[in-house]
Amino acid sequence: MQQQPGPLTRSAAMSQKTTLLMAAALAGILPGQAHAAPAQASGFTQANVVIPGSIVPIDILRFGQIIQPTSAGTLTIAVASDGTVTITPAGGVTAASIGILQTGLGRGAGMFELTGTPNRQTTTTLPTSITISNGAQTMTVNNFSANTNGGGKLKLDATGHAQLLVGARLNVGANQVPGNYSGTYTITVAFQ
Amino acid sequence: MKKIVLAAALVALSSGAAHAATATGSATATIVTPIAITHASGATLDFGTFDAGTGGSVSVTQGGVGSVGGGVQFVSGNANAADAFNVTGEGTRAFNISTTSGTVSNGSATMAFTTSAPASGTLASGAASFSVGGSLTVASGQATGTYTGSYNATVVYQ
Repeated sequence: MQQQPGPLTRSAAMSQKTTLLMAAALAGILPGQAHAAPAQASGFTQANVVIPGSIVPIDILRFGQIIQPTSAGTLTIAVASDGTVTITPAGGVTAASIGILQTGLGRGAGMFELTGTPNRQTTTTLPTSITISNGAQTMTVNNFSANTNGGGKLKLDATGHAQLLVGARLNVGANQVPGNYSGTYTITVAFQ
Repeated sequence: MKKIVLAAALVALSSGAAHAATATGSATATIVTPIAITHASGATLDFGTFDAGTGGSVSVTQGGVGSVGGGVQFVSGNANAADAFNVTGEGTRAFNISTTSGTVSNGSATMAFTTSAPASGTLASGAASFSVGGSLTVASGQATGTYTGSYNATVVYQ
């Protein structure tokens, strides 16, 4: 019974401290912005014409149907800066093992529709490596590429649009268990 | 002064929001069970028993029905049969079939044959089978005896 007042008092003190900190934070923000205001007065006009950039995923990155290889191999869907897509099997994944009839969406690069201010430069950051899974087994997808120029740059066109193509390399294990594998990857686009 | 402060705050917020966006894409791949072919146990492309006569041919349909051409005549007790193969693979995939020609021999005596098979097939629940017929060319006065030989059958996914 005598121990209770202790924690209660402490809790009250903490909540008081939190309130004080929040007030301090608010106070900190406001003076900071007041200082910046004269310098950003012209920037305010610019802000009116900026269309917030958006990315909409359109196409899935599809490695398609591959006959189970007996030794490890890769299938690379490489996207060049000019948008050219090159599909290259290697190792245990051969031309014959990917030359089978493709069903569903087939094979191809992923595609995102970028929308923003016309003629604006964008910078895309691609993932390094992801895994795709059939629920029990996984495969690694890495070596991502896109139709961007040095440093991930892609310029929106005069109507404020651009199609961002994304490729990658699929790593298939020896005797990879048959099945449908899927996974997700995240890209970040900075609209400059 | 207060109005300027608010405007500045809006600039900071709106330009920050417009600067970067993220999106999540999907990646997919399908590993397909390899296709495999095995010779049906006990099956054989059997051109039967015949008299070569002045020579000609013996044909067996994919249904196993034999017929002769030219001077060749089946003899009593003749029985013909088509060959058979089993195919395993993925689900309901379609596949192409190819078979080679070959030669049967009895010591130094030989006869050439061609084979006939469906051009393609379709798996059902990962399994299928097909039959192979053929046509044997028989020379005039072909040496008597039992001739045997082999040929290859190949299946590939479409």
